[in-house]
Amino acid sequence: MEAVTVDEKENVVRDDYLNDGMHDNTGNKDQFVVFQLGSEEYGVNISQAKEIIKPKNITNVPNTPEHVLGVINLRGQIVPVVDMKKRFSIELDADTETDSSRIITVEVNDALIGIKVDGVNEVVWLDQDKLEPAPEVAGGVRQEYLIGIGKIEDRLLVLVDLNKILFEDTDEIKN
Amino acid sequence: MAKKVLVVDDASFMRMMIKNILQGTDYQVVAEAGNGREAVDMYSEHNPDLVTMDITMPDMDGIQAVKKILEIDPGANVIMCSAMGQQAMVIDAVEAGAKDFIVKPFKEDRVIGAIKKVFNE
Amino acid sequence: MDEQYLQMFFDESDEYIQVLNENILALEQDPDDKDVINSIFRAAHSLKGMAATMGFDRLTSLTHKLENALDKIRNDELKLDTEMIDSLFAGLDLITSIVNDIKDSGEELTEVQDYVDELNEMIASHSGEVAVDSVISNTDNADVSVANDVVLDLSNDEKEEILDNKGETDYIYGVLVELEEDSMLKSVRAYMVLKTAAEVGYIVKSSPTRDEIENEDDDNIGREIKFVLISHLAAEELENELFDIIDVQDVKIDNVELDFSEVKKNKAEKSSSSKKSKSSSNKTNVEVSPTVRVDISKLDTLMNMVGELLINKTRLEGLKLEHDTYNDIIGQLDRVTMELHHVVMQIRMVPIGGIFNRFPRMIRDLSKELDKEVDLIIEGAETELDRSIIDELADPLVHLLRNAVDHGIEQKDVRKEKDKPVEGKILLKAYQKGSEILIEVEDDGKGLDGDKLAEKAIEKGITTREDVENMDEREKLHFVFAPGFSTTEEVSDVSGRGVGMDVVKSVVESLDGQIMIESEKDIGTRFTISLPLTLAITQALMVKIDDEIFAIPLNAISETLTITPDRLKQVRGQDVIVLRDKTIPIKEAARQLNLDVEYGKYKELDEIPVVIVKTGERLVGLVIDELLNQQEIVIKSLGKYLLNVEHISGATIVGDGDVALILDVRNIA
Repeated sequence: MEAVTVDEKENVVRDDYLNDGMHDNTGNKDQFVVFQLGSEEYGVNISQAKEIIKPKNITNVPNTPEHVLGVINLRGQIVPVVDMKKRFSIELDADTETDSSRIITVEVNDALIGIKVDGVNEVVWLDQDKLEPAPEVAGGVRQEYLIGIGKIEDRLLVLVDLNKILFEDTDEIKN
Repeated sequence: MAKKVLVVDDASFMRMMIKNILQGTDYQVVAEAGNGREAVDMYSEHNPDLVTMDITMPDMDGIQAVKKILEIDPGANVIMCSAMGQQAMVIDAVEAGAKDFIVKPFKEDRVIGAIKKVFNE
Repeated sequence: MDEQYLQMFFDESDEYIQVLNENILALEQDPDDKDVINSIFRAAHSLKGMAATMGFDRLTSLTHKLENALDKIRNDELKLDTEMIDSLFAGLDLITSIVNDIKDSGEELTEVQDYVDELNEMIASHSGEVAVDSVISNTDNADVSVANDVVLDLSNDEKEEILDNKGETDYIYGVLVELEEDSMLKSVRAYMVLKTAAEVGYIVKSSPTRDEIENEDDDNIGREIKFVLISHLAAEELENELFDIIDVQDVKIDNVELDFSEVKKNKAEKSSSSKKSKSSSNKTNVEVSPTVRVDISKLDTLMNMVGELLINKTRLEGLKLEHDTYNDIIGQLDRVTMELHHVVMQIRMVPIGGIFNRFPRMIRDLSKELDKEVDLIIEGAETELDRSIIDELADPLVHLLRNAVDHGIEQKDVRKEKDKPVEGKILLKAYQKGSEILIEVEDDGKGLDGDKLAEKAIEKGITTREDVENMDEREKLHFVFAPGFSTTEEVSDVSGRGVGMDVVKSVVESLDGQIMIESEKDIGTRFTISLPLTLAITQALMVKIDDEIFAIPLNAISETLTITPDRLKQVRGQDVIVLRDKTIPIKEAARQLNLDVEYGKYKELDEIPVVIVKTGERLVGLVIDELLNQQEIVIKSLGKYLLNVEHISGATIVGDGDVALILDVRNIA
């Protein structure tokens, strides 16, 4: 299926899937933002994603868990930034800040939070009915925190439940 | 005999609208002004029988202008032209001596009706 | 009923209930004060009118009964003794109860019949007359019917007014003017109608009133204008005058016949009454000041916008451009934003008297219940606070006051033994000091014993004997705030369970404030709550700690200084300095914040920058890396996700757009 890219302004674009004349109205389809941590690909429901920004000056906040990097100033609003790799305790080249690192601002539980990822790849459509159930652990994340696995050709996307991941207690998430 | 009218509004478009409405009636527009100060000057110069006065204008607003004109001529007839939501200011103007008011956007019959009432016709 | 009207009904009812409360209290003190009686009567009358309009029958009938009783009182037909006053209070409580019923469920649930029966008995026993439910002649309101559609009640006062203003040849009319349906700016038309009427006569009352016309939203002014007019004009002439006004669709005029004999009799009786009438200058008659009701959320939005403006102004200043007019513009911008800020702050400010005014009644009831004599003195009710703070303060203050009566003030005989006046005093005082608001609750009761408190704390495992040894009196007194300190056995029913002192403290702290205790055995106790003047914008000292900028609110700072290492002394392993006879512990800010640096390096410096901060009961010196500057900051929340970060109360945005964290120093040492 046709994937839609993130536009030049790095805004998450909700594509007019059903009206572009190329797809039909069958199935229960939803859009997901695909991001990368290390070599794994993950996805979050587009309804939660707000915008994608390049990492900016993060002010460290003392007395916070390690995965909370600090806060940033987003047009006057204070937004906390969570390092997803640290959240999942993925031991891959931790702390690499490459050109493709991004912060995705998400709205979860009435809070605006930024999640720092290695890269944002694209926005895809997935059929909710065709998701595969998540195995016990996928991409370093345990089953309770996953919505499922999405398949696109030969790629596997680990679809995460941000609500649970961000708001439940740390230690249980990781492998 | 035709009555002389002074039209005051900072938007030339509004002045034109009133002029158009009054065209062909017994009320003839003899002068126009774009702000309160000009209105007072024009009043002294032309001594109109009636003034239509906008409320919000630069360089002296309508309410001030009404007060000043009534100082010059206590018998002056002034009709305020107001927008929705300006009731407090219109009340001020009426309290200061304006005879009546019309609300934008203008309906021809209402404008003429108000003017006729002022002249007791 | 329409939501909007319901809210207005609640707001106004609450105000009237408040007026009634205060005035009945005042009446208790001086049963002869006619002005107070009249205020009570008017308030009850207004309540009745509102209740009737909204269709609340029970409330209407209750207030009507009370109004009748009050009318008798003001005509000196009813004896005002404690029983009667208690009865009035009981009636007021019922009114409050019904209004609350409506607030909670939309229905009038409270039963009033028992009370009405009692009230009737009370009236009978206190006046020697047989109380009759339907009251006759002069307590009846004259109903002015206009074209049988419209009824305007005329109270006795208004009837007197007509009497005073009516000339021999004048007519009294009830007039109904109906505007065209599509008439624009109805309020202005209504104004012109009343203006025209006033030019040819005397308007006794009108609906809408002149005030309503000038202050209400145009949407709330309907098509009908009713008024009672005394005029020399014949009805037909009056009609013509009114029809002359544009947009008037219909005019109905009715003649009003009043029985003036009763009204005249009352007047004569009153003026020949031998009882003195006090001057009403400094009484508790609460005037409902001309105000505009504003949605609090609109104020919050305004506040935020001003905050944003301020931030951007600061950022603009930081650019330091080289341009002639630049400085002019910055100067002007500065001035305007400061003024705007000032004005918005003022709009948000509300006199604390609003929450104070329920206390006299509360203390009266409580002291009666406990058989103690207590005098509540309130000072500084006009002190203004940000409205968001005021609501939160109510419960803590209630708790402190109840505590003072319950645990502070001793029983009458105990006080006599101690040679104290039998009447205990409680002082509730609010005042502004610098950039803070202070609220004191002081009693002249038995005081708190620090050592006893400490013992109790040790028993409860809150502290150890060793720790207690190092404490001074003030720190020991602070044990009352420890969670779990008061158990349910000790908390009497009066002070209430569940609202412990620890809750008081946490509420105060959630408002960025502090609470302090001073006490002396048998002399008394004083609680002092200090609150920052505004919530959202505050003055702060900017400091550097481990290369990051932090802001410390100025109201938490006692002073700043630099010290040399030789001034550091050691007391039981703790660094301290002696500052003007006070021993102040020195802590390293970076360490208190668990930052990842090497601790103790400050001792190697020539000069050590220190900020002395107030942490509740004592002062602590915080060692920082660098003192930067003092500036106004806009306090921004860290957001829902980072709600409870230790020692950090928020964040602010500094000149270059970076985030600086705001330190919460209260528990930092």
